[in-house]
Amino acid sequence: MSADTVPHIPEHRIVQIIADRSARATEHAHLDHCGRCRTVLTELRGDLGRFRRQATLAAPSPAKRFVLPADGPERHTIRRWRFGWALAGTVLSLALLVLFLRTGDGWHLPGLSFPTPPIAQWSDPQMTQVNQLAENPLPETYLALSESLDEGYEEGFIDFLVPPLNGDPVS
Amino acid sequence: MVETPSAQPPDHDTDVSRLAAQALDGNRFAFQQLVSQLEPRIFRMIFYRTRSRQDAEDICQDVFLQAYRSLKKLREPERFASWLFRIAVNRVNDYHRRQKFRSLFSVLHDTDSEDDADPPADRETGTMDAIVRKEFWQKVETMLTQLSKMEKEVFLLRFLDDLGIKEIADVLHKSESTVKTHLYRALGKFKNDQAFRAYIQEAQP
Repeated sequence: MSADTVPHIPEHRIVQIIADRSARATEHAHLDHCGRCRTVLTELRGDLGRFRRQATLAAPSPAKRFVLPADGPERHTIRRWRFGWALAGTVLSLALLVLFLRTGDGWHLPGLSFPTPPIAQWSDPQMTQVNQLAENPLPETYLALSESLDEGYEEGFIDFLVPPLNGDPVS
Repeated sequence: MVETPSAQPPDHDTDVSRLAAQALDGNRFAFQQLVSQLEPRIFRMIFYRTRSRQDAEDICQDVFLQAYRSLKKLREPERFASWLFRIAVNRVNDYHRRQKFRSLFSVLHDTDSEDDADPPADRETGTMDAIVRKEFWQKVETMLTQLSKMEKEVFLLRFLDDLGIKEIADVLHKSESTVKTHLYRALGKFKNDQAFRAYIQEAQP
């Protein structure tokens, strides 16, 4: 049977022969006799070879070579241990921070809490007034008036009201 | 089936397997020899995908460093080459992801850094080579745009990086039949790209 009477190798099969780098025995036999199929195969294979050669030539060579690090592969284990310790430390620090920020009446996150006026911290209403006075002194006229009121009292009268301890006067 | 010989001689593979086994036993010299043997291939493989010499060098360093650090994870020394290629493929994918991410934030960012494809030594030989190379990679890029991502990867691994079907399946974590399917499709597209094939024939060295 001549090559002309035998059906040619389908193009998809030629592609497979090249991709797999293998052909059936019958295909080999056909290729030995059929110039047309052989041309298709060799041209495609040749183009792939040229493509590879040109790509190799168009690629530079590496300027720097890989040098093995001084430490061995076991160093990896040490790094993992270090990483583990660092992670544990971070988690612990975060837990402490959360505990620190948490108060009895809820959560106070730094970005969300509002500054509390110091005066509001006093629960005693009298002390609140004292603080208000300390921060906002009385007007001069009122102070002058209170001094003139104090003038009427004598030391003896004060001692009578508040007896001195160990004989010391109060004032 | 009659097997057509691969571009990599069998002795080369045996040598790599033997050296990989020795490296697994803690032999640093064996690993250094592996690097000497495989570094040019890995570097080229990365360059084909990044088209940047600087980036290819950096990624190549990372690949070997990672391989050295995680050598204990390698179960079969005879698969060292495909294992190394898998690391390289992953690194290249990371690189492309980073490039894409950066390009979102930088309008001026140039993803095509072919200009640094030519080392200074090569520049001395003249700009003609640089122009030819640039044109070559542009043509390659145009040809590859016809291929899907998987077809492109399989095609490059097969015909530029010269890996076997089984190795490619190992590298990509795919079955051999899947690899073959993509490879046939990719090769079919290459076959029908007459313009690229004509260019390759004209520009042959």
